[in-house]
Amino acid sequence: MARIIENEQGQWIMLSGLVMAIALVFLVTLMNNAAVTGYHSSSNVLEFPKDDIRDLVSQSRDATSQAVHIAHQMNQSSNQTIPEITTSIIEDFNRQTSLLYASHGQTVAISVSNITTNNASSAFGDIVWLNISYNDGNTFYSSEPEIVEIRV
Amino acid sequence: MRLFFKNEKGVSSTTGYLLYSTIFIMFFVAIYLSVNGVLLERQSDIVVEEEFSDIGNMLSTTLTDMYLIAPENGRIDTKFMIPTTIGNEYYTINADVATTDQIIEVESQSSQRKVNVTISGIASTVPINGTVLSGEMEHRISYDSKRQ
Repeated sequence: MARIIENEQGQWIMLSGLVMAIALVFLVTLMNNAAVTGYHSSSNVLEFPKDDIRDLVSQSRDATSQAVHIAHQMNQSSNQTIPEITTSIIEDFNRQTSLLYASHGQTVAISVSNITTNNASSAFGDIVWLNISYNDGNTFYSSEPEIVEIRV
Repeated sequence: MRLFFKNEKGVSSTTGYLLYSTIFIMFFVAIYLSVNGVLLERQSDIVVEEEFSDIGNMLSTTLTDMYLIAPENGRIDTKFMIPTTIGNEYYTINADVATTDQIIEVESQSSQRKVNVTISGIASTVPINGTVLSGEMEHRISYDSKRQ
């Protein structure tokens, strides 16, 4: 045992040890390099506001249908015509909806471009031509006209 | 057998270490020669293809969504964001083959990498065409009911 410890002729051992240590460090760096090689995963977030637009269109259709029903009722006891009342109700709806969407940073506009009324005996109901537009900065949507047919 | 155990002529530490280090150096050289292919190129192939297909899928989803809400009279115009380079390569998104093959191609401009993504057959009802270069500032998809 004493001979091994006291034997000082070990230059090769030291040298090879050094070579191995350097080589190992090099290999480890290379491996790390491969693992974080600078590629990052796709940072895409799908931002298409499909549900917002769908909501807006279906709400507008619902509101229009209600507006026409209300207009027919109010027409019984008012000087205003059905198209006039319908238009003013939809203008109200537009104001409120715009405010709601504006709070999310979106611009919407709903307006009436044309209304035809048919009497109750006709096979067709009243038809309202709506202009709907939506914009959130990235996506612009417009449906001009969106045709809503209402049986009264 | 006793002789074999008593014989100390083969236990020189120096020779042993020389042998070890030679073997190690050979091993190291072998790894060094193969590391580029095994660790770097193969990995980047996988990452780039994955990301191409991510982007293709994103576009295909957006197209399908637009198709679902497309107004009968009107238009949709949407911007989308994609990375300028993937694995240091610029790439092209090609939708011109959509009408015939129902796919969009995401293709590297500098290497042969290419990924095809299906668009669920919607191009048979709404024609889809156009090309996107990743280096451009702004990318958009437009739909117009009047332009058939």
